[in-house]
Amino acid sequence: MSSDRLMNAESPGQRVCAADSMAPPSDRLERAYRVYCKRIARCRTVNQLNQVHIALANYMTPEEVRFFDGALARDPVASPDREWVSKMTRFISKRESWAAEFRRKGILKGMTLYTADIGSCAGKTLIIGFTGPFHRLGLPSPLLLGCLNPALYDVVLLRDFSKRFFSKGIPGLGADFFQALPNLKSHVDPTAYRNCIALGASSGGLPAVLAAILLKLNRGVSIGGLDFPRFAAKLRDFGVSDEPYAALLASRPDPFPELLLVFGAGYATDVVAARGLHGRVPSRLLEVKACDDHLVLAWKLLRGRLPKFLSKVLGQSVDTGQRVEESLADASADSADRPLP
Amino acid sequence: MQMTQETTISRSRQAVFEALKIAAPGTFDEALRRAFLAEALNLKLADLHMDSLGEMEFCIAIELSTGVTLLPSELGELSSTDAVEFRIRQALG
Repeated sequence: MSSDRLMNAESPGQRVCAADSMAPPSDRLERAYRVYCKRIARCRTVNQLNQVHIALANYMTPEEVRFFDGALARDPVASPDREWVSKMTRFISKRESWAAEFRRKGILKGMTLYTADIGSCAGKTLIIGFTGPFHRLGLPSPLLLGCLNPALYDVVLLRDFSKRFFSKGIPGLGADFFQALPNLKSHVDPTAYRNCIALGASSGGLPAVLAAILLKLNRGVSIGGLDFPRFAAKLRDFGVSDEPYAALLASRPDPFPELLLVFGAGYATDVVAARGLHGRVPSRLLEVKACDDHLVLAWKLLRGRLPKFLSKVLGQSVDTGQRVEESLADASADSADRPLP
Repeated sequence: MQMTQETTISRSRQAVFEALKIAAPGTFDEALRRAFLAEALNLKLADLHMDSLGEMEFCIAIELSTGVTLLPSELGELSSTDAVEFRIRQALG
């Protein structure tokens, strides 16, 4: 069983999960936990256990993590699964002021929507996440979702199962990047939202920038992403022409998104890539001082600064949705993140 | 007998290659791929910059393709791809 398939939208299990999003929370969570326990009981090696946990951490919601943590805490025996979930729970704080919880809606293989049954799209921001090679934005998905106020944000995570930088599209949306992205609106319409931000990490970074230009989104953010020449060379290796991507990157539609290229100052590959891409497209650089990690979001998480950092990256508060653009230009706002011109 | 051994060697090499494609996806261009599969290239694991998740994915992929359980905690002792391959060959017998 592939880890990708564990909570995959097209699997029968995922159809149950999609239907479950409508069920009362306690039933839904209990059922998910029972399925988890059955899966874990079948594991015979550490690798099998890891495989289940990795897949779950790519798809779970903060509410599910907290529920699993509570259920596993009743287990009298300390176990690797208890350790796994409590490690995640440590980083998810329950915000009492937040009136809702994210629910997962598996729409397609490669496309998962996280939304709360509260408010209208017109009052929310849509984040379109372009995940990296492990189908996450550089950290377990519930830890990212745990920073965002569900009443003000919806999140779509796109997963590139072909591992071709999304050039093979998303099954069910389109067979290549240029077909798939415009078809997002058949499931989640970016234009219905207050604003929309493409956020990509690692190999999803440059696709997020390109998507922001293609769909004329408000903002595109690449975290530890590639520069175009390496991306183009990889596409050619895959037998995909890089020309339409080059043309898109060179285009300047109106409106043009705010583009932000984020990188750890001590991670040389990402420094070079971000500076290179900055020279090709109107964008701003955000250097994370003292960070020698490719996984900038995880690095921030471990230092307890992820919500504040995400607000800076998104240009708006993760808590209230208010613009915080000023702090990006204000080095004193967080001395560990030095914005560059 | 010779044929069996060659098949085993090839299988373990292929397993390491496929696992690296998953765990360290930027590793191979065409020239490196050929050299690696021709056993003319031994990569240091430290140079691959796998994080803990990458190491887990690497071990999962090895186990799925060969049935050999290699733990992430063992990778520290296995410094190179040749060493990993040797470990797999030993386990396969």
